[in-house]
Amino acid sequence: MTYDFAYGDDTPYARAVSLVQHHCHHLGQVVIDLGCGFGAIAEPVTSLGFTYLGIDVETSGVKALEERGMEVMVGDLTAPEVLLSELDQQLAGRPVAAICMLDVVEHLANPGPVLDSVRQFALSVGGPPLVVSIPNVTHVDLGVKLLMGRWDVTPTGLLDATHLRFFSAALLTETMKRAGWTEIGSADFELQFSDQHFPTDAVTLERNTPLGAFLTGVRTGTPSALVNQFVRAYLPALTPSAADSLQSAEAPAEVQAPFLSVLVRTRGTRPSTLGEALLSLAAQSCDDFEVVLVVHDPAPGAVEQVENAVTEFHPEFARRVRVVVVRGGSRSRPLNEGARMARGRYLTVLDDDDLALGHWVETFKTLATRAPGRVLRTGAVQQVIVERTGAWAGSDGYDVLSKPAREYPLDFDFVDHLADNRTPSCGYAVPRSLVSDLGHGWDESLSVLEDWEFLLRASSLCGVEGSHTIGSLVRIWQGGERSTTLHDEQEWEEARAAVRAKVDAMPLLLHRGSMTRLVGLMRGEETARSENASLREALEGTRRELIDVRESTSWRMTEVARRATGKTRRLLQRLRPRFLRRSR
Amino acid sequence: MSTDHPDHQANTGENRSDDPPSLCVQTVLYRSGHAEFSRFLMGISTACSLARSEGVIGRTRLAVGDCSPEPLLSGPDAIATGIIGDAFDDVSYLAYGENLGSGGGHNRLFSDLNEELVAVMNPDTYASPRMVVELVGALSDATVGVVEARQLPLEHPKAHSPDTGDTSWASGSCFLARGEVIAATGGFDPGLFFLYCDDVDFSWRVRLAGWRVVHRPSARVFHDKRLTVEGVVEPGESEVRYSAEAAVLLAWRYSRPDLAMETLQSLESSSDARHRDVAAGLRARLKAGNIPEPLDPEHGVAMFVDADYAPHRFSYAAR
Repeated sequence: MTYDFAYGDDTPYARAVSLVQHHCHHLGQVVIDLGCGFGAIAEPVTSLGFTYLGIDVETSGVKALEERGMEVMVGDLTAPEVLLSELDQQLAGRPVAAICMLDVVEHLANPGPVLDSVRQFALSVGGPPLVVSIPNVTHVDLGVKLLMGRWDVTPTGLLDATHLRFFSAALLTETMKRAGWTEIGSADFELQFSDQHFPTDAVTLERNTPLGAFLTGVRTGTPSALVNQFVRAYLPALTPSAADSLQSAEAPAEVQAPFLSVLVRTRGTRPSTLGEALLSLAAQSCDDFEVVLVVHDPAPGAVEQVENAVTEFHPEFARRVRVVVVRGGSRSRPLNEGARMARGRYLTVLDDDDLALGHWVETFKTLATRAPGRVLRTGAVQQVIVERTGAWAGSDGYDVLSKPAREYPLDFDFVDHLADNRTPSCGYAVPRSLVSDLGHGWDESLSVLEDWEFLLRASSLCGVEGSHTIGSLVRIWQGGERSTTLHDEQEWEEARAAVRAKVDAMPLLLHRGSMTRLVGLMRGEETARSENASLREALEGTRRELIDVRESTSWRMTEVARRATGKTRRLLQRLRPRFLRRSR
Repeated sequence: MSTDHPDHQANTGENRSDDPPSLCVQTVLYRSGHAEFSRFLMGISTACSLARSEGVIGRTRLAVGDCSPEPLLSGPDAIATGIIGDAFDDVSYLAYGENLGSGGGHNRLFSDLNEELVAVMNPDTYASPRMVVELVGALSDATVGVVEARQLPLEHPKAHSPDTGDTSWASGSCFLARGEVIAATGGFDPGLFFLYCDDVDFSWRVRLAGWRVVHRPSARVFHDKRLTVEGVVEPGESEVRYSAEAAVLLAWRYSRPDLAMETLQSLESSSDARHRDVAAGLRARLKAGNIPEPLDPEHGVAMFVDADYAPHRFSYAAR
């Protein structure tokens, strides 16, 4: 199919030209437009100082371009060797600035060999970049419509009737990589509402309905959710990647991924407790995990110290630890960066002063086997420690002050967690898919409570599979530097308000049994209100009686003698059971 | 290493050369699994390799005793060199064919001890990389005979002096002792303390012999202890029995017959049948006159603090 779309100021064509302009600096050289159609980019490219050469198998577009004074050639990309040989003759030694394939690749039945041939041709003419523009069939509109059972093929657009291949961001990356193209630039074209945003009254599509807002919100964190057209630039590699089929090549990566990625967040200022956290990981009964050790805003020399601490461990453990340096941002930044680099199927966090018990990972894995895809939650305890350095050479910075205290409830209650956080970050693991596929992460605008906010979102979407097994130990510094002392109460309250506002801004998916739970809370509140009213009434009656007594002549005359006896005592006795009952 | 403790010049057999001291690492298995034993080997082999590379220790030997009904290994060659690398100059493995108890198993290994230092470790431990370096460092003070490591994730509640490291006793799950200390004390007393408090008794006899017992917080060891859902350490069946028995025997041995009888009577009136059973055995022992020779008559070493043998900073028990 040959398209005759206008260029426009902000269109996929304009994005493609911006990539040509950014990556090609040799004016006068030829920009080859493979599958040019009516050549929407011809004039903009020419105006930038390049020589335009349009090539297409359909003559209508070629003819129109020729009439506009552009250099053209007729050629069929499905026979790339012939086409590229003829192109070579057409160029007659002229240097090539770039090759464009806009709205072309999705029309090829087998794009791999064509892209490989183009790569070889590119190498033969000096290795210019390739700019492509390809529709994204994972735009949120299409995903939501699939839920309705709709797949609306149209004459043009995302589901153009002549498209033979359909691309997601991952498939595009893989296809180009296998054909030997290395991505060097991206100018993806986004649309809030794609051409597939119909029918407009569909309850799933309409973003003002709770369902529409929820479904859209689930994915809007992912980079490609609103991308209508992938517009990317690549450079040719000397050789293509492994020629295995896509399916067989993708499988091992998933199979080899560890069960769990443990994100260890440190500033490198607590080498002794960091060493202990690492020791507790090295000693795990299950070794199906990796460690992403994120050093956040390190002081000079801290990174080397952390790296040395890791390499001192047995190689079997040390090889599973990656040290990553992250600069800037709030407490969430190192977690998001660590999650981005993680390979495990689940993610969890162990701060540099937390400790894992020996079966921490094993417990998470048992839960994941039982209920894949859910948030995994284990029990956790708190222990108070204090900074202390004695004269004894072996003293090492802190002392333990208390037995482990079970400050976190054994069972997860979503409604209860709405009020406040009841699970430490080392007490839960989330499916990495939540981050890698749906774009969720720790909110970097929060200075504290980022773990609570993330857990609320994760548990709402995934549900929670819990175990009563105590898997980790959270150490609370008495009087030392920790998040509760580094941030004042106003900052905590502002963070709580921000979390509530964020949760309130979106429809909230409640867990099974929530209706009963909420009704129970409401009834409890009604009962409390009713008891409160009764108490007030009783108090008022008592107050009136007291006034009557105090104003009586006899009371005044015998005030001292009666102070602790008689009517006063009876009045107090009447009050007492009620208050006692309320205090239970 | 300095070994010129004034009280022990005569019997130290010390190495006065500048060579780093030799070390034997000992552990005793009982129904241990291969995975647990592999983890133990990873930790201690790494710690020994690091200590050797820093010149802290010299010749190093690993001695493994096995009290399991079915031996875990076919022999020392079954210990994977892929795990331990070249951490040890020599490795021995001895299947006893009977349960000698932890102390009994270690004593059997002590009989071959020629090294200047010996590390006594549980197989459910994982040494931190610098553990051996730190433990050996504590023995640079010639008055120190035994040094214990800091246990993680559940630190032992026993108190120690932040200024001297001195502590009442060293946990047998992981300590380092001078070879001469073993020679002078004879090691553990499994005849009296089969499973529990053998380390308390050993430590107190070490202190009676004039050495100090210290805690070294910077020497870390992971000890795979678990918590109940209530966040406490629940004693196992054998711990209930043997620790109750040891409470009476320790009091007898360390010249506190009053406390021994008080504890015995408490056990006899306990609602727990296991305690009453233990008490009956102790009564029979008492009747037969089979009670330990009293030590420490001046009460200079032994400490009986509530139900513990040292002041504790906190308790893991559900009380």
